[in-house]
Amino acid sequence: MNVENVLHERFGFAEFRPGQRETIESVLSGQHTLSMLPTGTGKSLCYQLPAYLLPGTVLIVSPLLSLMQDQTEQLKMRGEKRVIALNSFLQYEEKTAALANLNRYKFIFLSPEMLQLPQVIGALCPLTVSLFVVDEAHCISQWGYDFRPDYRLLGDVRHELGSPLTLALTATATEKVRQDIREGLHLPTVKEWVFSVNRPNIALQVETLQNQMDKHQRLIELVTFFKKPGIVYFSGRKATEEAVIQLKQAGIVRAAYYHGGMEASDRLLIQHQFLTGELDVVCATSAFGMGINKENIRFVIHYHMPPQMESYLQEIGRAGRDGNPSIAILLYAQGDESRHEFIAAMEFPDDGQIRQLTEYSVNPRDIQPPLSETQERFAVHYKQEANQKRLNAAVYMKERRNHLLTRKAEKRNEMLTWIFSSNCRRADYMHFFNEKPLKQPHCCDCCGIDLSIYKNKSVSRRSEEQLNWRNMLAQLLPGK
Amino acid sequence: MCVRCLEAVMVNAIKAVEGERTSSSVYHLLKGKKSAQTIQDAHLYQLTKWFHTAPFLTLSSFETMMNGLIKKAYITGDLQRPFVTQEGVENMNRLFQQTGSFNELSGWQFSGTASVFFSRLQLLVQVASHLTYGDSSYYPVTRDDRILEWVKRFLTYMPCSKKELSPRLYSELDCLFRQLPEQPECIVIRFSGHKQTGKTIAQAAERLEMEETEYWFRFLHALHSMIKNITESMSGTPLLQAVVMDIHDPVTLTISARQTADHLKKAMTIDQIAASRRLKKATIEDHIVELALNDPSFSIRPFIEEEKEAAVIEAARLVSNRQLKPLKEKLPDHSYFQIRLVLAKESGKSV
Ligand SMILES: [Zn+2]
Repeated sequence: MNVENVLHERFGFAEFRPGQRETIESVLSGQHTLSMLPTGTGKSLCYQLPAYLLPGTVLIVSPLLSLMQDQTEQLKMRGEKRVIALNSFLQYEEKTAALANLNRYKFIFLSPEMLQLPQVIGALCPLTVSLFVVDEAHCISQWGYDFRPDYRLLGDVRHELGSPLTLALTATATEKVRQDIREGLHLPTVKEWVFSVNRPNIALQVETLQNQMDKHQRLIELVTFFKKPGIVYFSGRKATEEAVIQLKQAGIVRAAYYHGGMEASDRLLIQHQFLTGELDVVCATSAFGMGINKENIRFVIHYHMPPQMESYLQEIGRAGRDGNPSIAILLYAQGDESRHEFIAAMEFPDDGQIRQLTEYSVNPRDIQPPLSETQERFAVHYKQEANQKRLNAAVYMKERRNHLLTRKAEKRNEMLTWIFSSNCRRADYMHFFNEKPLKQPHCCDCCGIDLSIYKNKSVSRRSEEQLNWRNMLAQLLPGK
Repeated sequence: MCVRCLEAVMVNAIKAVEGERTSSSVYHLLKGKKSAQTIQDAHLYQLTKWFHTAPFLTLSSFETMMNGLIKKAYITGDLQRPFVTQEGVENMNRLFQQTGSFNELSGWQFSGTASVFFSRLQLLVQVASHLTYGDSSYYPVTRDDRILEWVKRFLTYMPCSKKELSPRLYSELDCLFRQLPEQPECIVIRFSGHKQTGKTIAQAAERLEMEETEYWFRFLHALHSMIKNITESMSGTPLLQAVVMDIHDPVTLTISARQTADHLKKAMTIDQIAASRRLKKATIEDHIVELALNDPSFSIRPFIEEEKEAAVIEAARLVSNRQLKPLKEKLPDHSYFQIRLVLAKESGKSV
């Protein structure tokens, strides 16, 4: 069977998207591969397809539980049952049962924490791992925008597993980050595929407004005007809820909010409603969108700027996967960046928490005020690292924290520079990734764009029907 | 509306415990904390229906609401010693007049069952719906592996063919919905199926034009009523019975209390159990009270003679509210433990 056959029969696609074939063929020829494919081009196919042409198991390391769940569900929906996700949320018995039967699975998704557990490594070792996939591989690098300390241990894990064939995937990684990926995974020889970060069908516009009131008003104008569906990103939970109230008042009734503070079951419902087209607009924090396979998103609006260029490209990349014209708008008001300063500081333990951890050796779970998941991950990792290096843990942790905070401030400034620039926005972001800029029509506000291309043309407004439980139930569960 | 449904529930519970408990005891009650103290309070103050009915609360959101109620002068005093004012009672009554008093709600009996039941039901309806429409590609409405596994097993062993599933589910639900104390839309609107996705709690409330916590309590009320009808009428709804059957746990005990029960069966005394489990004597006594509350066959005789038991029941009749202190004053020869035990046994009968 060749790659085309698998593509048609297993996945039902007629052709590859840019970069997929190169990556897949590189892997199948037995070369360690690092592939940078822009968001929205179907990265997961790059390991899913080879799995059907390789004999053993495919391990996929993924940084986020929700991403893992999205990917396992997508595989299951295609009829693949040999899929499992191992994460720290599994109950003890479930985990033990899963580990005892790992040879049944073709796809094993793991969080990096799981790979630190000896019992997990012990259960993986007897398997024939034909491909070791590191998804979101930029997390390995401190220069990346989403550094995950536990990703740095993946190189050793790979070694323990007998150095299997490896595929590192990322959407956005500068040359410096790619170097860190190669070194971090101990890959001396690696075939590197770097595809352009440019998404030509997504036009870009930045608008600077006086204050939040103006921004709110502009948001309503834009959402009303544009063809839907679309996503609006905010950097706070409360803001998403407030925006939905305002949008509904303005007549955009099929709007909903999504953020990490909601019940998991409610978040899932919103995701499904968006996928099935029951919602036109989702106002969300950055928790929304990863792993969502929706082809026809027509706009992405940033009500608040993202903390760095890479997040911005990831988030706007969710628009226009079908290749049709789409638009990304960023609304900026003076001082918006300060929200991120605050958010960044919250990602790390403060001095008091560090003191409890080091001087008083308090268990990370018992520290007051309690550590967030990200804070705990940081604390556990660097305390251990300090001990290995025989350094003063408190000093070391503060030093690492301040270093990372400085990095984040630099990234924030890069983002601001891009916002304030009067150059072509596309050229600027391509420059950022050392790419040669290119001229194209429907580019950006600096080159000049015609927003009417993205206008909502259908005026049909579905009015909400009367609720009647008998009709609803009969619709769901029709009789004989 | 000047008061939200959840606030009325809080006022109701504070009213029951005022002067005797802090506001955090009400928080633990609504949150469904499985501690001997909370469980006893629920029975002692006859608040079992609200037990574990607001699991979404956080201590800070609860305290914010409490402070709001104090500001509105529905409650006086402070979080440590809250009292309900006349205005608080009036507003609570006004709200309950509008919503009904949730007569079939029983958090103590059903809250654990209800959440599992509803997750299973949601998934089952979704599966049945897609089966009927011959549509096999969809995302399951839950990611809880235990629910997914359960439904998979259910489909293998259910007493009807896959073709019959949808009409049979329809008729069983239809039968239950006709007896529902709430409008059935509050349940149906949450179902996902072919070409339609269920609504979140907030969306359902908005669509039904209700304040969100009012929707929540009405939804729970409807759910508890369904479970009660399914488990009590043993014939009408065989499929749904199978959905509830293996969740329903009539004796809801904390694990520690179960261990105490095991020791008691070996004829150990309270002191011996305390020593062997390295627990305080008072803790073991709490367990025994919990057992008396929950297990109708549990005998309190080893801890109190018949006459003394009768004396407590008699005294309790005279003291209208169930405060321990005035009872103790009337019963100088009884220990607090003995009084609580008898009250527990008595209220256990009414659950
Ligand atoms: Zn341009």
